[in-house]
Amino acid sequence: MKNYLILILKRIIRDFKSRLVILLIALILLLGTIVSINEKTTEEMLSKETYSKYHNRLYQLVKKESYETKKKDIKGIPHIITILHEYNIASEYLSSEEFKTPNTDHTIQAYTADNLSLPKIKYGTNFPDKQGFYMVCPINMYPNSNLSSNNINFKITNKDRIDMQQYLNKTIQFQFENVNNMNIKKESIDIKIVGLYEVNKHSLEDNTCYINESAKKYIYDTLNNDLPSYIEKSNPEAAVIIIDDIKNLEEVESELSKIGYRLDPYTIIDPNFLIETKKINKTYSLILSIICVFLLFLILFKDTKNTLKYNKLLKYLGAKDNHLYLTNLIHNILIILLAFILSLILSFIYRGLLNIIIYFRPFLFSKNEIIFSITYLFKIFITIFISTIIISILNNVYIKYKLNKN
Amino acid sequence: MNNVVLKCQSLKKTYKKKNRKLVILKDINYEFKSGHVYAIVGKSGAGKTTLINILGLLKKQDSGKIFILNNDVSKINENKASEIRNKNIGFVFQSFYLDPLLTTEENIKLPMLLNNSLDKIKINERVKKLLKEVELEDRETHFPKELSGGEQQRVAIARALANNPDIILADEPTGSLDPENEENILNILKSLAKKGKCIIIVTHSKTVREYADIVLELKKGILEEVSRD
Ligand SMILES: Nc1ncnc2c1ncn2[C@@H]1O[C@H](COP(=O)(O)OP(=O)(O)O)[C@@H](O)[C@H]1O
Ligand SMILES: [Mg+2]
Repeated sequence: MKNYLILILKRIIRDFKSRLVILLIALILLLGTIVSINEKTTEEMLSKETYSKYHNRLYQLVKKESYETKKKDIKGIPHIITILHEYNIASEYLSSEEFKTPNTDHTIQAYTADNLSLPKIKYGTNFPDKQGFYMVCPINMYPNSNLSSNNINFKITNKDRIDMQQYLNKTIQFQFENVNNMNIKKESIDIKIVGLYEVNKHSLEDNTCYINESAKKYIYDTLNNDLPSYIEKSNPEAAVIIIDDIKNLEEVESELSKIGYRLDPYTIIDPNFLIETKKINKTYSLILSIICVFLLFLILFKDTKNTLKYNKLLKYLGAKDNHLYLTNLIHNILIILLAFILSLILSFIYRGLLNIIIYFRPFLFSKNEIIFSITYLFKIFITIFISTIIISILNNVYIKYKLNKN
Repeated sequence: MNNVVLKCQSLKKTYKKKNRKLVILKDINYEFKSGHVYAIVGKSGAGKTTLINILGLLKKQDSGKIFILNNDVSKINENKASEIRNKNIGFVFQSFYLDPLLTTEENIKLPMLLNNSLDKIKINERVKKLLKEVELEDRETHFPKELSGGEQQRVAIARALANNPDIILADEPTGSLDPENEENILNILKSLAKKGKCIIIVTHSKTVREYADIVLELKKGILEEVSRD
């Protein structure tokens, strides 16, 4: 049987028509991948704890007013935790001699957070109320600025991880670079590590740490004071508020509109976007499946003449009827399996290219920013698979009728 | 040698077409023996192909009996018929009927792969032997379209011999070949008969008549021995 399967496979690969069918279906499946990329990438980003806990509570306060006026205006409005300069939102790279390991640049990425948005603390505490600079880190920290290094041989190795428990409740000096300045100048800040969290699939990355707002403000002010004159400061009047819970958004919005303010979601991803893409993807997968099934139907029945000829030959050579029908079925299933495999390969190449073009990431060895949904491809594939079996059975019934006619 | 391998008794076949009953085979009685080349001649439309297909168990006769190696195969089911076709009968056609997507070697292997009982090493040995028998050792990886007509027919003969059958049924095997290739094919078939096969050739060709040990004519639904010329 194994040898016979190989023979069927050879017949498929050698047949120009079969190759064409495989390519066509693979390309249609690739289309499925392409349309699913947005959905999957968005979904993945939204699933990050930082996003759901923090970024979706960030709203830009829109009105032509100064930062100070805005600050005064929102006083007393419930559910607003704090107001920040817009520039407070970006993350900072901080490095420390303490974290020196053989293959890393001993740098971490620090996001601003508050106690509501911090990941669950496993060891230590949240940020204390007392004034000071505080930080929360992963338990097993990987101190490298880039987790998908441009080095092809890059791999996160355990010997470069740092067990942060030894640093809990210690104050560590961090350096940050004034990159705006032509002569790169090192600045430093002492931050106390108060808590450790466990990295899971919802976290950002293994180098992600969180600092409190005062630490962030200190870093920002230091950098800003040193800004050369030719660099334009980011709009100092742009303000972002953090609300306590996404549930209270409507209430906050209506209160603010009374005094002439509008809220814009601060993060690029609007959760509504996901719902929209999901809808579009559903329609697409339906259309793609229908095209595939139609194509298979056309091709299989159009090729009946050849199949019949081949089956007749097999019959002369002593093949049993059931064997013929099974052979035809396996032949068709192999075609779509090959198409599926090819579409997977094409999808990976497509994603790799996107990564290079959009993120300048090396092809295979980087942690991909672009995520494509194998499940999505699989769903279309299953539809086509089942259709193939049904079409093959219909085709076999027709062939049986034709074979026994004469 | 000389034992009866294929026997038919009172075979009858009619086709119905547009309410007209067409009696093709009226009453066929014959015993085909091993070690002989039989030529079946007859006008076009006489029913030669129909007879070959009935003898090859691809078509059912309306009545009458067929014995292959002394077993009555008239009432066997489709699966059993397939098995007998696979093991005891080899077919050769005018149009060669090779699978264009398979190489010489793979075409010859095909009947062996349909026969589950053979292992890979035996199959390969057998293919080598058959290629030698039809003098195509250096053509094993060629595809049919890369072979001449005569070569294709030799591949088809090797394929018919794959499972070492007792009976070869050949429907106008030289009909598409030039005289030189015709003789070549006939020599091969003749040498197979010498090795004990029963070769039944449907033909129009005078040469085939000359090569045959026994010439049979199918006429008005009856099969009769006639003289060689
Ligand atoms: N399936 C069929 N249905 C009806 N008539 C048929 C069928 N097959 C063959 N015939 C008729 O039977 C006759 C004999 O056909 P065939 O055996 O092919 O003759 P030969 O091979 O001697 O030329 C022809 O007249 C043909 O038209
Ligand atoms: Mg004929």
